[in-house]
Amino acid sequence: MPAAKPIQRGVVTDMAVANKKMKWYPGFREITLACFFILYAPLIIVMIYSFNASQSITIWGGFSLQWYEEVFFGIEAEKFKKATINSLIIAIMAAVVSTVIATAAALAMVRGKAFKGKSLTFGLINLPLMVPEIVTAVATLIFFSVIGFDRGVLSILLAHIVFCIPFAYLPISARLQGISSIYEQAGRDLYATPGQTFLLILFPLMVPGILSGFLLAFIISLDDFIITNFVKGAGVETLPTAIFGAVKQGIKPNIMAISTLMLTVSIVLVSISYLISRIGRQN
Amino acid sequence: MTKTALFIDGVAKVYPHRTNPVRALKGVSFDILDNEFFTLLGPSGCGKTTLLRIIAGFEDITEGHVLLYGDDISSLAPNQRPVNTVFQQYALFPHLTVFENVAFGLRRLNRDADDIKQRTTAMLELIRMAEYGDRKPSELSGGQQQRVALARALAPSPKVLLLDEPLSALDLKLRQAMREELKSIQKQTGITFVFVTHDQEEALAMSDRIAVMSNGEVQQIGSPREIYNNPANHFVANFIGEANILEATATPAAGKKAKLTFNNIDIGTVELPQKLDGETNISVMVRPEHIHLSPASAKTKNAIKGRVKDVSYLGTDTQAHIDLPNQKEILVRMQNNALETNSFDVGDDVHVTFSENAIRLLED
Repeated sequence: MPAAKPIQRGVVTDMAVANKKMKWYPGFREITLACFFILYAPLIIVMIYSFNASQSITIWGGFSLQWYEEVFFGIEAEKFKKATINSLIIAIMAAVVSTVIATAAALAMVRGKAFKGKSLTFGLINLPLMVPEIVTAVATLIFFSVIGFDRGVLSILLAHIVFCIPFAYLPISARLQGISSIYEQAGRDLYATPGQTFLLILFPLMVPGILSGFLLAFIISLDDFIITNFVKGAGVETLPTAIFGAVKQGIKPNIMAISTLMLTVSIVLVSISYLISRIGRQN
Repeated sequence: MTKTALFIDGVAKVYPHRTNPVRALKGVSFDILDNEFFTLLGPSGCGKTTLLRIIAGFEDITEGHVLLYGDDISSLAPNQRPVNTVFQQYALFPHLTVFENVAFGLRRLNRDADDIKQRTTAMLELIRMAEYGDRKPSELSGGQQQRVALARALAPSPKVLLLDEPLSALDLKLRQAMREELKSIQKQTGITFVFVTHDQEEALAMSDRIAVMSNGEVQQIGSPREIYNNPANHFVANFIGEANILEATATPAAGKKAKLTFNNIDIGTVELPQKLDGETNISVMVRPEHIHLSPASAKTKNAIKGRVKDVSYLGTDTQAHIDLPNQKEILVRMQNNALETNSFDVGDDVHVTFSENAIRLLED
């Protein structure tokens, strides 16, 4: 054992100690590396080959931006542009609506008084996370047919709002649980009405949770394929269904370029969401 | 006559539960005077915090009323009551600056902008933190946060200020300094303070009057001196300071007087509330600092014989437990002096004496 260094107090030390202990398990490093490899190697290959000058998806033919050019200006550019606009509109609206609903649900569940069936309600809010997506997709499709609802952007939007709620709910309710009700009491004590207490105290404190709930819902909606594919009408495409449609006719490197672009957007948004919640915790 | 600020009228609080509802307050009644530093003192679970939260409006009342300068405020929402609270965990709004925290109540009361600025600045000056207005609460030390919480609650000039164990999160030195500061701020502002604590020393040092509570009931109300010198019962005697409770035998003497003996030693004559019919056992209290120890060799009249069980040297004082022949023990506290006349060792035989003026009668 080397001589003990002066120990810094706090979280950093705790984590450092925990990390040190982890390394003691035999094979820990190998299993970790294997997991990361399986997770990220395909993504990295797609990113690299999106810059391939060759038509082939397996042989490297030098660096080129031609596939990105094709995405934006090629024959399929119009199709992908339309699909992207659909995806963004749906994702933004679904994220806004589901975040509002999830915020209201979190307020009722965390701050509301105990009511009959509270734990059942909690289960129902989170159930979509556990139901196989294909089941939800089929059921939603049948539901829309039975009530005679026209399939198109609106049907996709409605379905997305519904399955985004639990994803928005989780970070919002986690944040709300971390806010002591003493702040609201202090607000009421200092002559704020219940409405002012919410607007001036509780809401500003909830903002980091609401923002990360919004971003999570946005990504989940942007990314969805199965449900969208079932409930979209003929001729209406979102980006994932358009990519799937293109891949069916053979994988061309322009798909890799689109995938890389989507991945970049996702990484940026998830990082923002993480940073926001970290700033929220520091306050 | 001093005006009554708060009248607590038969307040009872029951937390409902299917099998065993909790009776946190069992119908307490007393008044708190205008411009008074009043303390609710008791161990945790005695109902003191519940009572404070009832006055603030955070808990509804099961039975009874709370009157503020004659007006029944029992059914008003917290934001409709002209009382403010200093919370135990300060509860400063983390997203607002110190200035905005202090100005919060004034803004809700729709004071005009000049008034808010002036009053908030005056409050920050009162707590000597005028330069800290732009800071966020997370940038302040515990003691500074405590003072901001106080300024925030005082800014709207409440009719009564409620303080819920505000010093318990501070370290000892800071706590002692804050005691002085709180007391002087109370005198300066002339606002009635209702202070909740479980720390008897804090209560004695700061209060004009103390209500000692336990089990959802008020045990005794009085000035610190009255409560320490004449505790009403066992609970108060034991909770405030340290007490020796002795089971003495009382024999009737002239009038309502009775002669007391303990371990067959005559310990004095006291006046009882009513005349004794015959010999009875009664409990009396003697404070440890009122007991005198002398070596067994000394000639002492009416001394109880004992043996030193342990001795602790406490700097200003020395404290000793003395074993008495009837299996009981007694606590003695002696002030240390320059001559070190209080040097007793474990196992020494000693004589225990106290003046009859030191004897206090306790209700059962």
